[in-house]
Amino acid sequence: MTLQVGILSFEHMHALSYASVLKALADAELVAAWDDDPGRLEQCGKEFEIPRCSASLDEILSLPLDGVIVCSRNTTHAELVGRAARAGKHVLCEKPIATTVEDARGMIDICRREKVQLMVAFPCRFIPQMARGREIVQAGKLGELFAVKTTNHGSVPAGWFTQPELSGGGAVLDHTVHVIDLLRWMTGLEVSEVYAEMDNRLYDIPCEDVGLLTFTLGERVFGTLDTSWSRPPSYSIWGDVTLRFVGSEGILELDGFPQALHIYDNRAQRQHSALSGGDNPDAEMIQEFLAAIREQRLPSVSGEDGLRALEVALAAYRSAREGKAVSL
Amino acid sequence: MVTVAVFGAGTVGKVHARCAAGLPGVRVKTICSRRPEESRPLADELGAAWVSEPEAVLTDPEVDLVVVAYPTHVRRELIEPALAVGKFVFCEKPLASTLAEARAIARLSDQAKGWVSVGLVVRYFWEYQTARETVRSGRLGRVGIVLASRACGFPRGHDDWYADFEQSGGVVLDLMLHDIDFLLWTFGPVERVYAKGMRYAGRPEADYALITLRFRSGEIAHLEGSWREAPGTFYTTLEIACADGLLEYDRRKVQPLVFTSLAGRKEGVPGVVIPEMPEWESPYLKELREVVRAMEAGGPPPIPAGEALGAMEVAWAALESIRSGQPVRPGKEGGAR
Repeated sequence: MTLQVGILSFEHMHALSYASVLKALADAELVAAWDDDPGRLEQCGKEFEIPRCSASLDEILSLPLDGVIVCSRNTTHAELVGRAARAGKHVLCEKPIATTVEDARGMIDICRREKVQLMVAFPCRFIPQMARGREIVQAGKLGELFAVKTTNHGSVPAGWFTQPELSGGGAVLDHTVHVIDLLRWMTGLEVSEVYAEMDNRLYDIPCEDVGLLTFTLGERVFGTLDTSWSRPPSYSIWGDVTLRFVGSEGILELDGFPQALHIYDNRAQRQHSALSGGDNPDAEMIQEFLAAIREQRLPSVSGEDGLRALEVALAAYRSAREGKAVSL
Repeated sequence: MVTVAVFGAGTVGKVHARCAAGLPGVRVKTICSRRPEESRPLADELGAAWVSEPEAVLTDPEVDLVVVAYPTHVRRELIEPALAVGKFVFCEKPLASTLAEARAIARLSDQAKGWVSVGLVVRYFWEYQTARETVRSGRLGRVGIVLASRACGFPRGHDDWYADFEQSGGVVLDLMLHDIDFLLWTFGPVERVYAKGMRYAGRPEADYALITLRFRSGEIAHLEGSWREAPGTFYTTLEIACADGLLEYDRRKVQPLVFTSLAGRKEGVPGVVIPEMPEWESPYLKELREVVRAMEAGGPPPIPAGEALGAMEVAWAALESIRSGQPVRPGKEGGAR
């Protein structure tokens, strides 16, 4: 059965990757797109040869779509997901799920009421070494887990990402959720306490660009996460996702984007660039979304997963405001 | 000619004794240790005398410089009498296993005829020196966030003294002090410290800590210290992210010489890989040479005890934060031990 999929907004650049994935799949079709920016809609519609493009959301949602991918700015996820759910469409929503707990809860509730899926885009779960790492952790090979040290570095993004009224926050909101989701998924533990230092130190933007979280997982596993947009344009790769687990019986180190292949190019903007492995996590993630629709089952990543990760990011902001560790 | 006596012939004592012997104008006269099986061969190797009792050194008028490489908790009982009889002291870090003791040593050092210089050897590693000079030059713009790791297997000392955290101070005081001192030296005073660690988890066979420092000038620094690695492991990493660039160092990626022994292959023994970091002048040699030069010039110690206290205060604040779960201002903490 070929599934019909639509994209709601190309505002988040991940939409371009998702569109490419859909175009390459034999059993799914990218048939429709909506965007509130007509220029962007026209350009993306052309690039990906999308048959139905419209600036009217009602028009797109009235089509017989099996699912939609929401890739708008963070603050409008709630509205778009709500309208898609009411139109009976299954939803894959870009992370973070939303910018407030209330919005996220509302999204989860309406999708449950309308009996549509809500999957949050956490592609890091679909990186093969992360999946293999989870097996090692869950097989108990680390013994008692003591601590985790993690990073999710990035380059400073452009546009709405750095405008808090559109994004909901800076580097901390953008980069807390991936790693927290990985840790919850791998260890089965929830974050119980967060302390954070953050600031705007690197770029002329109205939000934090460096952030460092210290947290407790479960009752006593402690950990840290550097969420900074700290890779300069001259760096060899856009960023990283790394996890280091320290246990009584072993140490596990995971690098989601190892610098495997180095390219030196006198004419490129990044004169030295590094590429990671050949697997495409986005493709695996979208296949899971489509498989869940086809098999009428829940996807492996839920709206609740998105909410839990968001709560940790929001707690980090609270900690930084109050200057102390806060409990969840 | 500077005449040196070395207290302690463990791993660090051997390093300092051999460096001293290799410096022109320096004579290693005495190795003092109650463990002859270690110290006598070292004394023989360097043409020095071996003594078991510190008094023999303290009453020897020829000895100018005392190198202290005893376990942390017994350093003070050597340093104070040495200062009292007018000797110069070069002491391995940390100065003492409590902040109060370290402060007492620093006070005495200021009043004595000689002085104490502290062995914070990371300041003599060219990678760290160059990193410091690079960011301080302003070439990479404003500093945003710093990550520093220092990781090794659990250290094994005589009587397993490292495993007694009251004596060794655990990974925070013994190992992370290096990076704390380097960062203070590079960025100035720390406003607040937040830390998590295993120091009080009742696990003497393991220590691991993660510390966040917020500097008065705004930089955020994150430190990892590990005594949890596989035996034989040792590495450090440093990353400084700035507005106009980034600087990174990872000891694991620097392999100037790797020798793989296949000697046992016929007997089915797997190859043994032995990486080395050859250099003409080790940072340990450089730090000791600075001490000797300062003595000869009649100048102040290269790293005075009072200056080394700064890193101890931050380490103490980290320990206090580990206990309390809250951020701590260095120098303001009470009786955390």
